[in-house]
Amino acid sequence: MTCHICEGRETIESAVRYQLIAEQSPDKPPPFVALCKSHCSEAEGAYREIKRLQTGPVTINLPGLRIGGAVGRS
Amino acid sequence: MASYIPTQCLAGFNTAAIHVGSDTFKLALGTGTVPSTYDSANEYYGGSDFTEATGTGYTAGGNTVTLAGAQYTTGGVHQYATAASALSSSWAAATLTNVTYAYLYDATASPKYAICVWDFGGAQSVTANTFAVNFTDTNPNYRVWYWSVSP
Repeated sequence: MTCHICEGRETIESAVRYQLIAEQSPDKPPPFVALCKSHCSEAEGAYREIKRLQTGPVTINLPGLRIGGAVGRS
Repeated sequence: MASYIPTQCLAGFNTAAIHVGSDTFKLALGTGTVPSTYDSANEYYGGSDFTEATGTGYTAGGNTVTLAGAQYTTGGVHQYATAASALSSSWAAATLTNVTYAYLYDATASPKYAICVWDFGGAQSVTANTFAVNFTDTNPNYRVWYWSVSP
């Protein structure tokens, strides 16, 4: 996902879905764009937040840890 | 930084303040720099070593994990292992950013000794989805921590 304004040159720290208010039309669904954190405020007035986008699930594997290992490590 | 056993919890074991089988144990998520003090006096839930994650779908304190301890021998290695009752612990519909570690602690003891700290090796984030951790050890299944000796 890249920022609609800077086209990915900025990191999207908060994946948020924005609606481009200026292009709203009853004949077609409103376009949605993603904006990076630094451009959220810049776009204020032209966009409004619709919803936070869903990212993929995260799964982390946790190994069993040995008490008494080297410096307490597993 | 690597995953580790905080030294302070050894005092909890030594004074029988940590009771597997009767105490409540919880798994919390941490954010920011993974602690690395090893022998700090703040290695407990709520102590300054840990910065707990916050976000949608995550309740302060973390998830309860049911644990049981038992002797277990494999490959000539004798151990006393504490294992979880299930593979996974998860947070559904979570929005969390910069989660860098998880820590398991005794929520009944005072202080709430941190017993395991797992370094994720990098920041993890999720938006409106499931954040899950799996206890993947198989000797025995879902092993969380253990002591072992080799004759």
